[in-house]
Amino acid sequence: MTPIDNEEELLRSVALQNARAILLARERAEHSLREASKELVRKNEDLFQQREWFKVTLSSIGDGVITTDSEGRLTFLNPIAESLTGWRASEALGLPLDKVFVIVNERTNQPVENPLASALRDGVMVSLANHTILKRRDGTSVPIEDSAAPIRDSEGRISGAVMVFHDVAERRQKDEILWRLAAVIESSDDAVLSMSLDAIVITWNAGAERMYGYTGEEIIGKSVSILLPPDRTDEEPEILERLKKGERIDHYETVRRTKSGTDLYVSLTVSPIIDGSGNIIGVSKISRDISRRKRDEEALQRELAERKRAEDALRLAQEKLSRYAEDLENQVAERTAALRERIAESEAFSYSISHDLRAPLRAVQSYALILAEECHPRVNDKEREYLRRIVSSAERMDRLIQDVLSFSRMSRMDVALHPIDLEKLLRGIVESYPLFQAPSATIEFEVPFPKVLGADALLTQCVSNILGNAVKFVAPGVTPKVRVWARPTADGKKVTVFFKDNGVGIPAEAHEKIFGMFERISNDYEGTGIGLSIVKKGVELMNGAVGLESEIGQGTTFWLELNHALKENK
Amino acid sequence: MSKSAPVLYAEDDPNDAFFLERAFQLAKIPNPLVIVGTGQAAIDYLGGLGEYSNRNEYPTPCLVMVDLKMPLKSGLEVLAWIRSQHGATTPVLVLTSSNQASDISQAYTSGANAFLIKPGKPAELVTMVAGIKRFWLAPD
Repeated sequence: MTPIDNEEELLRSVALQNARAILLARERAEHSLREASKELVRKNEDLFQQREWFKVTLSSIGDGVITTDSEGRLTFLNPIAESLTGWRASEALGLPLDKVFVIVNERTNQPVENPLASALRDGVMVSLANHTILKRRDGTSVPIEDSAAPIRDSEGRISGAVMVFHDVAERRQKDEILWRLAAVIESSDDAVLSMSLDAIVITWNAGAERMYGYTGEEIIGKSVSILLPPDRTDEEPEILERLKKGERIDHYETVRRTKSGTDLYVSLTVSPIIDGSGNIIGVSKISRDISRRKRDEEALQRELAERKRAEDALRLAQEKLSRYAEDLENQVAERTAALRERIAESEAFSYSISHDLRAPLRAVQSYALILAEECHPRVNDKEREYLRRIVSSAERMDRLIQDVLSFSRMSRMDVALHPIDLEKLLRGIVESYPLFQAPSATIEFEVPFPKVLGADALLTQCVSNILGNAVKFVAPGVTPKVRVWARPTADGKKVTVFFKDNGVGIPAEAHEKIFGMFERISNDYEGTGIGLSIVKKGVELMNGAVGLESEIGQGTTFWLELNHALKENK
Repeated sequence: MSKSAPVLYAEDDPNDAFFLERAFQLAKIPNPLVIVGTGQAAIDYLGGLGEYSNRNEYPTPCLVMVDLKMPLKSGLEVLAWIRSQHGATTPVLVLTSSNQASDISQAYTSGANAFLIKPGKPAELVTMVAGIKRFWLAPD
C-alpha cells in the first residue's frame, strides 16, 4: 500500500466515523425526546385526571368551596357554594369575590373583611371570626363559618385562593337548645339528676344540691339510695322496674332524706333515658320539694277534720236539741191535751151542777110555791111559814150553787189582758142592775179613769161583786151611796180603783178573812160567802191585787190595783 | 093556726113537764101539749115513725119546745134534725135551765126561734108561757 492512498483513506475513514457518531447521538437524542414526550403525555393525563378528581370532589363536598385567581376573581364555585350564595357558577365566574360573597358581622351588621382577601394578601390561612352572616344574592342571611387559604404555584408564588364555608344555622340552633336546656336544668329549683339503670348518680344539678344538701362531687358515682329514708328502701328498685318497662312516672309523692337527715316530701317525675337505638340506658329524675304544700295540706286536713268534728258535734247537739224540743213539744201537747180534758171535765161538771143539781132544787121550790098558792085557804100561818122557809132555803142553795159555779168558771175564763175603758165598764154594770140605780142606791163616778189592763168578764165580775156588797151591807133605812174613783200609782205603772161606801163597815180583824171561801161576817145579811173570793181570784188572774180600809160604822173602801194600760205593760 | 094542732114538748124531767103543763092550763092555751121524754122520741113523732105514723092520732105540731139536756138525742140534735128536713119551718123554742153563752149561741146558730131560760118560780113560768101563746100560738 501507498502512503498517499493511505492518507486519503485515513481521512475518509475519520469522516465516516464522525458521521456515525453524530448519527448515533441524534438517534439517542430523538429517543430521549420521544421518551420525554411520552412522559409528558402521561403526566398531562395524570394531571388531567387529578384535576377532574379534584373537581368532582369539590363539587360533591358538603361545604361550600370557592376559588379565585390571584386577582380575587372567581374561578370556581361548587354546588353548595352556589346554593349558599345564591349565585350560579356560570354567572359568577370571573366576577370579583366581593360581588358574590358578601359577609357582615352578625351583631353589628357591618361588613367584615373577606378571609379570602386576607389569604391572598397575606399568604396565610385565615379562619373567619364567629357570628358571621353571609348576605345571599336574594338578600336573605345565612350564618356561616368559613376558612380561606392561598394557592401557590410550583415556584411558591400565590396564584389564587380557596375558601371553604358552611351553614351553621342548624347546628347553632341545636347548640342553643342544648345550652338553654342546660341552663334551665342548672337554674331549676327542682332537683334534676340522672342515673344509670343500677341507680348510680351520673348528673346532679344545683337544685339537687340545694334540695338534698349533697354536692355533685359528693354524690356523683354513688347510689341514689342514700337519699332514701330507711322505711322506703323498696321504692327505688320498684321505680326502676317500672321504668325498664318503658313507663314514665309522674308526680310520685314520697319522702326523701337530705344530707342533714331531714325528711322532705317530694314529688318525683321519673323518665327513661333512651339512646338512638331505642335502648334504655339510664333514668332522669326530677324531684320537687312539696313539704310545704304537704304541710299545708296536712294542716288543711287537720283543719277540715277539726271542722268536721265541730260540725258533727254541732249536728249532734242540734239533733239533741230538736229531740228535746220535740219531747218538749210532745209534753206540752200531752199536757195541753190533759189540761183541755180536765177543763172539759170541769166544764161538764159545772154544766151538770147547773143543770142537774139545780133542776130538783127548782122543783122543790116550785112545788112549795104551788102548794102555798093552790092550798092557800087550807093552810094556816104556821104551815105557810114552813113553806116560805122551804122556798128560801132552796133559793139560798141555788145562789150558792151559782156562786160556786162562777168561782170555778173564773179559772177557765179568757185571761188575755187588754186595755179596758174603766168608765165604760162601770157605767155598763150600773145600767144592768136596778139595784145599783136610784132610788135603790146612788153610785157616783169621779172621772176620768185611766185605762187598765184586764179581761172584760173577770173585771165585770169583780166590780159587780164589790158594788153588790157595797149596796147590800148598809144599816137598815140607809140608802146605799158609793163613790168610785181611780188614781195611777206613784210609779205610774199601776192604777188603783177605789170603791167607798156608806155601809156598816168591817171589823179590822176580819179584813184578811173576808176574802176566804164561804167566809161570812154577819148573819144579818143574805150571802154565800163566795163573792169576795171571786173578786180576789179574778184580780189575781189579771196580775192585780185587792184590799180594803174600813172601820165599824164608818163605811168601807175597797180598792183594786190593776196594771196601767201603758205601752210598756203590754 | 088550727086549734087542734098540738105543741110538742121534749123534756126528760117529769117535774119540768108538769110545771109547763100547769102553766099551759093557767095560761089557757087551747092547743094540746104533747110531751115526749127523749130527743129521739121527738124526732120519731115529727117524722111520723113507728107508733107516731098515725097522723090522726099524732097530728103534726105547730110549735116544738125542746129541753137541751136529754138522754139519747139532745135538744140541739132535735133542732138540727128539724132544720135539716125539707120545708121544716116549724118554730122551735129551746127551753132550758142553762144560761151558758155557748148553749145560747149554739141554739141560735142551729136555727132556734127562741132561747128561753126556765124561770125558778111557777108564776114566772105562767107569765112566760103567756108570752109564748101571744107570740107563736095566737090564732091568725
